[in-house]
Amino acid sequence: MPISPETLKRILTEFGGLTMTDSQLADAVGAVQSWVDELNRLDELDLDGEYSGIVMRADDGGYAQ
Amino acid sequence: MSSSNSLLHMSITEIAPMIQTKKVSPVEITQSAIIQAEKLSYLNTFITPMFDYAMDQAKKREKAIGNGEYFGPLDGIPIGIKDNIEVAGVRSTAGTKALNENIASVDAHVVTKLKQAGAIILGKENLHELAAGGRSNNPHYGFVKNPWDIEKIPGGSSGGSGANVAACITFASLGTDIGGSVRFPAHCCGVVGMKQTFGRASQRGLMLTSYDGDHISPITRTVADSAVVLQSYVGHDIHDPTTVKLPLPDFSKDIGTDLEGIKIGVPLNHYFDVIDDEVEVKVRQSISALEELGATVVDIKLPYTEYAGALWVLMASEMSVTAQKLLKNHGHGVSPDLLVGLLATQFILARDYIKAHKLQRLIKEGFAEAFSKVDAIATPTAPLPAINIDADVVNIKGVEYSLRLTRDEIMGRATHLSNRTGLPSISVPCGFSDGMPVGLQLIGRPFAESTLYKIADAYESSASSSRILAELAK
Repeated sequence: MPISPETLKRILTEFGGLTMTDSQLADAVGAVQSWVDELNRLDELDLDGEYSGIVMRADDGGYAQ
Repeated sequence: MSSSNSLLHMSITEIAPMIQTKKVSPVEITQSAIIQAEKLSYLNTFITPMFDYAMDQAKKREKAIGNGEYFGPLDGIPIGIKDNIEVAGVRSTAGTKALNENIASVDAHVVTKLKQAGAIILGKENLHELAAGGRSNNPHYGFVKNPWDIEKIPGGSSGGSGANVAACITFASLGTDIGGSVRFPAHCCGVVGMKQTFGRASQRGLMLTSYDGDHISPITRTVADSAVVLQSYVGHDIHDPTTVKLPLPDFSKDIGTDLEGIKIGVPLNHYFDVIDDEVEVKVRQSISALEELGATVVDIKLPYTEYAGALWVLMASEMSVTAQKLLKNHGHGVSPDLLVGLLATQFILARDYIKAHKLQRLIKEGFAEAFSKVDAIATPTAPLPAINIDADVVNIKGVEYSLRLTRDEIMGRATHLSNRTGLPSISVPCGFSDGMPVGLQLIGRPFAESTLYKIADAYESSASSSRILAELAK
């Protein structure tokens, strides 16, 4: 989903009718994009065969830890 | 009888024997602490002071101690509680206007334990709104000010807690640390902040958080005090599945012992990559001091830490769920700073969330490998000292970093990995940069808090900058 002031405005409305000023929305687009960029950097890694930080533990009957 | 101010300047381990032997009374100390709090009320450290309650409790403890009922080193000691930790019958706002009239019905588990230890709660402390930032510039309850310079931030999110301890208003305060929120204020205010291993302490009664990586943790003026406070409230809680059933060691047992045989790792990557020159000098000098005290210092590398910024997704995703109802019902009382983080979570795909967890595993394994060679890892607590309250950007080595509507990644850069790995970490004052305190962070093996206390105490005992008080605390 593209990150634009309009998209953020729509999400805020769904949050219960919240609002931000145009200037806050413009800042927010950059901030949200920087968060998403950090995540996209993970595409550089081959994570297919790695275990997760959350693993199902057999001795707990499969309880996630 | 000692003068009121000199009593407040003491550590818990110094004043507790005086209370036990009735040379000092809980009423006397509590009165002094309240006078100090009122004198320094412009620091905005409390959201809800509990001074009448504190005096009632102090009188009860004085009478009980007089009758031979002494509960231990926290008995009769004034402390503070961050306002996102519930205290029964008291307003608990988590720093947001949306919860301005929220009264907690039960005590957080840790608060119950502290009351049982005889501690006197002075009040609920100011914080960064919903504990979701490092500046404590709370738009609803006032900006918290740093006792070392009231134009500077006290750090956050436990800013009121750090400032109270540094200003000698409380002897200890309980903060919460989800990305550095106890250690960063400790760094900014020149006090000691310990984040214990994840699983050591109950989170029951901690409001609106991510249970994956948050910790209720102590801020104190000395390392020995930190061990005493932590000892009083940790342990397995049958109602909190994140706590572990492990025997509880005596956290103070190795304090005062020498550092022969201790190996300390210094990371070649991540922690010193972005850092103010003067802060780096202070931290490296403190590492040299540890070597002079008998420790062996070796270089280490921590793989995958260059991707650490992606781990924000783990905390933010869970917070987006815990805060969902609050936003729906009271969202208009939440500041734009906070909304940005919650907006960002709306762009996280399930596959990104899983990838972040896989990265978390790789980083944990990197630390485990390092801890097969060293007992502790020494780093800065933060890349820069406390910044101006109104700063929009910071400049580190000629590079500008924006502070507007961000997740405060610069200030939490050296601390947040310990939350995502669960490793215990302590910040201890190691000097001054531009007149403001800075901290040395020591990271330890899981459940090895005693080792961290041993190393941090050895450093504290040898450092000339230890136990220096801010001028307005005197």
